Amino acid sequence: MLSREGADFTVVLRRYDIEHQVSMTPEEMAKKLLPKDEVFKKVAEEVLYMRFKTVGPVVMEALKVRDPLDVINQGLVTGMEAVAKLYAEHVYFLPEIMMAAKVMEIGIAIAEKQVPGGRETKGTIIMHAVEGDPHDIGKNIAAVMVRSSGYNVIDMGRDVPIKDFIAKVEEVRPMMVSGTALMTTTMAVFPQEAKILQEKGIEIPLMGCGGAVNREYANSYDLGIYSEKAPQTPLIADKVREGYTWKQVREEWDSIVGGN
Amino acid sequence: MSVTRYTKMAYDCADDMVFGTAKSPVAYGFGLKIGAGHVIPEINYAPRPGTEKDPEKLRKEYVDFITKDILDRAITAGFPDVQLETEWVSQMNQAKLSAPVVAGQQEMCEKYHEEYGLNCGTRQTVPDQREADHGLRSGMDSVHGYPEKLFECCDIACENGCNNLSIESVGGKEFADYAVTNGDIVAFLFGVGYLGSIDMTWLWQQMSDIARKNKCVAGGDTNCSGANVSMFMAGGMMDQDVQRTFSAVTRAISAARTLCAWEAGAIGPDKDCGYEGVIVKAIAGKPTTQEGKNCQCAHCDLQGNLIAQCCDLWSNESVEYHPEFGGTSVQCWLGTIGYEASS
Repeated sequence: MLSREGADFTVVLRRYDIEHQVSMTPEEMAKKLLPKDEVFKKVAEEVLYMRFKTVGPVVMEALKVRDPLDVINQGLVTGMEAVAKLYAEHVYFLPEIMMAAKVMEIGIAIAEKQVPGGRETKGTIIMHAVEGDPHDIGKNIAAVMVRSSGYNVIDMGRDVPIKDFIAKVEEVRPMMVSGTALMTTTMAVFPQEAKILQEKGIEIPLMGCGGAVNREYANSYDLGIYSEKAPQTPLIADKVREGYTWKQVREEWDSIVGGN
Repeated sequence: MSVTRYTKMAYDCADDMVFGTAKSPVAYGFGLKIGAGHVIPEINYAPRPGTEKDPEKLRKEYVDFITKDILDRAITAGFPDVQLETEWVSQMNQAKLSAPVVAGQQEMCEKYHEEYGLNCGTRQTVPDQREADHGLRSGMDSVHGYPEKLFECCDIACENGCNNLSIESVGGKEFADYAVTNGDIVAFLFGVGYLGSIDMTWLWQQMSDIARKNKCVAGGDTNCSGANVSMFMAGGMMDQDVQRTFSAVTRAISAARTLCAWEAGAIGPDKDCGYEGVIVKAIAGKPTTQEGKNCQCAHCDLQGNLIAQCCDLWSNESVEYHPEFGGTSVQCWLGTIGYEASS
């Protein structure tokens, strides 16, 4: 076996990830990010520390003394915002976001029952893995992120026939649709779906995602916009909700997704 | 096919398993000897979208273009050996699409072997198209192409000239997906390490039987659907989808599952995307295919560079067929892996 004595590996490998690690713990960061109100802080901590088992009782207790919409927005959603900041600081990873989002959804489901008339979502988005494609892990991650950003997601699953997808869009009239294709043989479905939607007068953004898709391809057909990774989807959805057309999303894509 | 469980390591010194040397080398195809003392390039490719719609278009793409280009480049560059891997696109579960491709590649390899003495052959990697939520019982073919359809694909491959029968089976994927996105290592251990191993043993006993019946080699499998998803999501230095230590542990767990193919009758070499191959080679002594720094056409992963020296075949993972300045993509990438193998 060759000896590694005296070898200096730093000349060929640099640990950018370690250099960029924040030295603060989640607890130290939480002190700065969580609400000062003790009731909302306790609710937010359930999300921040991904406490599946206790979020229900904590939310129920909070609902006795606080308005349900405030419990949602100042407790649960604030906790999720703290999670997002920890992710941005390279402390939390995607699994933490997934679990925190699920804890938040558990809490929201309890609290919104007490909101008169129900809680309004920001809008409806239909998501699917296109016809012929069984790969859905990226879509599932994006669906959690989009839901936790306040949108109603209709997840049609995988290998969704084009006709079923179109029928659903006609029925629901979402603000936006998203599709994923991992294979080059399935991404050709996107322009087909876009063409049919346009023929039916449905001019909403059709987001193309997945391993086979790149920005150039997603922009090559009308209605097409691109999302490279799951955290970008809610950011783009927010712009569509503001009234951005698919053309405007394309033009301002870089500034919309920022460094995400 | 009976199952033989490994109970000890094949090697007691890492130096003995490097650079194309395996305790149990395998010979097949036209003059190929894997693990017999030097590393052989394995070129992996994908047809252009649209070619899968028509049997003649697909055959032309795979045989007249891809295979011929590869073999021509091997001669041009002076490579003594080359293995081709055809990962079947999903539509190839129909014999009318797959049989002409397999047969055509076999004929082309034979021609170049006879004319130039080039040692060559093909690995046919059949698809596992199961969708676990539809059920995995016999007779579910009508719903999702599994299990009978999978074995039909093995028959088609072996009956038409496949040299190495392989697959990237997805048993345990439903657990792996959950485990990776939720950071749940116990779920990965149970779903892949335990349940996946049971599935793998069942699958490979039958695949080994089919290969043996047709005088083909049963190569091997990987945990592409679990450990590779975990590795891709762990990504590079600044990616945060999965913690890199978590990903490393999933890779170690996946070795237990991949080993089951060899315990159930496969003899290697296993598949390129099985980065756990170095672990299973250390246990079983069979040749392994690896990839890493020279598979940039498919993905960038630091893990592959750690284990390059233990490979017996060195692969580019996959590249779509298209023109480059230096020739077609398969030619350029064969050049890259071929020169790397020779060094």
